[in-house]
Amino acid sequence: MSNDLEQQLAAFARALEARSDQTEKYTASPQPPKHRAGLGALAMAGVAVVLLVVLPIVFFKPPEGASPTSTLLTPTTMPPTTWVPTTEPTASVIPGEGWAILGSTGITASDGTVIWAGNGTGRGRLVRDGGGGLVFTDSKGLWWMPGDTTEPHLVAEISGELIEVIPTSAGPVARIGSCPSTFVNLTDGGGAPERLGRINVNCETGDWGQVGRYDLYEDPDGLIWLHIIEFDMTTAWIPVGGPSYPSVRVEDFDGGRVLLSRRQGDLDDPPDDLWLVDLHDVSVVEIPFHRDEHTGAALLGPDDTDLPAPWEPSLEPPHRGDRTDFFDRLPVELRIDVQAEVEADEGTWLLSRPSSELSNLSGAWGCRVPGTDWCTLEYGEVLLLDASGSIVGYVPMPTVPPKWIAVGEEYVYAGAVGDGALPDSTLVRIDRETMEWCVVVFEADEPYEWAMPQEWIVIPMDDPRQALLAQMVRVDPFEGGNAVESVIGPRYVDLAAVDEFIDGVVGD
Amino acid sequence: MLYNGVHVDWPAVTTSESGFDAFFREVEPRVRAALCSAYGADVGAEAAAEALAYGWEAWERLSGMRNPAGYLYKLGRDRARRIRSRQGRSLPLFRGVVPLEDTWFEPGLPAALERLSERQRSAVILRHGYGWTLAEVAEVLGVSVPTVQKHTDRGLERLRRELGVDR
Repeated sequence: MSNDLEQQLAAFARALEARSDQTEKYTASPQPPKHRAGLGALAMAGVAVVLLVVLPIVFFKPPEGASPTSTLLTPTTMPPTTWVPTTEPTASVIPGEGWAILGSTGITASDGTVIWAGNGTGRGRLVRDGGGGLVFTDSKGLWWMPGDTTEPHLVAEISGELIEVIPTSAGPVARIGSCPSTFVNLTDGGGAPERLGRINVNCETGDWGQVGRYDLYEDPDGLIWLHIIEFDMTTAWIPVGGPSYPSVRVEDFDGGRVLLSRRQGDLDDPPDDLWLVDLHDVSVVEIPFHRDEHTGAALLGPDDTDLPAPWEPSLEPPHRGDRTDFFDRLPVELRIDVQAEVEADEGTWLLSRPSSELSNLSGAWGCRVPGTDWCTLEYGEVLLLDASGSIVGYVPMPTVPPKWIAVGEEYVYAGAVGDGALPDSTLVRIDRETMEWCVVVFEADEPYEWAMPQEWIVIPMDDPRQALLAQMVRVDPFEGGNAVESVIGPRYVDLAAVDEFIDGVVGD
Repeated sequence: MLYNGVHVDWPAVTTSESGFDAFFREVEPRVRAALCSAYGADVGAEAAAEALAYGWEAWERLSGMRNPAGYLYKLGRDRARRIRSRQGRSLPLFRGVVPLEDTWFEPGLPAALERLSERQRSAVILRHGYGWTLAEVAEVLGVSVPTVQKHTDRGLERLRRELGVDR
């Protein structure tokens, strides 16, 4: 590098630093940073005040005369003077990892361990106590199985839904009923003062969210998104429910994993299925679950302290298609399943389909992308990724996922080859410098125009230009044909002929 | 410290009782420089402040990470993009960045840097403006050394073209 430019850059860096020094900086301080409302700040008085102001319905005492949804009756155990959580119980039958499912026959862990075999009725949710133990309710009352015991014991004869268990210095406190709640100290079964909990319950809809950590959000099309937030940083948006499963609940969240249940009816019905989402790699696992036998589930082990990487949205791609904002919200792990890729100076060009995990989840919204007439499984796209793996450009291809791709001097070329399921074929040309694109559809069946962005050019079935496609894209090598990256076996494409064809079509 | 197989000379982050103070002194200038290089002094400094505030709150978790500086950079980058998005992208990145006394750079240099890709801009400024090693840049940006080299080379090449500077 020339010394001159190097010296200029050094001078620029000094000027940049000087300018940034003029801007307010965060300085290490024992005082809580301002403008923050994360979990770590929950214990801070200032944030507690904010939460009390923001969430009066959930956490304020009910007005005089209000009828509680749950009633505290007789405590059945004597209080110890102090309670020390057992983080790694030595005598515990509760595994330190995986998850556990509660039902009429007791509690079973994901590794097959029967944590507790007990028949009962009216069981509901299963909640960790923060010290290696588990808490649940049934028709008799509130039960607690501390981490160093092998049997649960009845803490109090109380009815109502178990919302959460809040670790406190005096022992874990169970919150029963949502609007309003009753708080029970598990160590003595006695009442506990109203406390800040983590769960925020919307008393009108019954929806839950964990303050500052996750929320369930229903968009205008009825799609339910799980929104994971850590310290004001979005970690993920994951679609988890919709018209087929309109009721979703987070059963447990440990910072790195989410255990959620879905129901076809309302939240009072037993769950239909359980899903485990690992936020580190956004893997999604369906957990076998028998609706008639099981009522709740919880993760096992301590909270996950290794924060998942924050979610990165797509970078304002220049070419949005109809409803592709659905895909823009997805973590790349759910959005991208690489079919083929080619390297170029500007980055990596991919042919991509939605991941199989998204396809599994899409059962919740009946396959079709909300607000559109096309199915998640029919979607494909041409993506440009930068060196860090971020999406910097894309061309959405609903109903015609491309099957081959090639990089030319000026353009990137791709195309779909029609098959029995998705019969239309396409030619796609993208300017590598400007990202301007052109999609030509060779119609082979009933028009799919309802699915197509308006800018697409359609060659009707009876148009003589249909015959040109077979001359430009072939299975066997031919003069002028370039071998391209293909997901359907060898393909050879005459890129010069494609240019000529597209220039002609656009000119029309 | 080994990062992507390359030795980095920065001192290891301490996890002692006053760990955050030591971590802060060492990491704050790096995270701020990296964010200011990518998003300009105003947005970068604000994003760095947010990221470091997060670091204070989440110190227990952060101190166990392999590359906490890189993690804070990513958090800051997320914040900076949102700030930029809110402000509108037409605002110049390097508004108010003018040569200090006894120094000089082309008046067109800030605009030329702005026209580079985000990654190229960071790599060029950190490597050749601040004089960091490739490994140091790679650690904070959370990418590999070859990636930094590639972006630095391409960014410099484009700068030379735009500014009419010979090799």
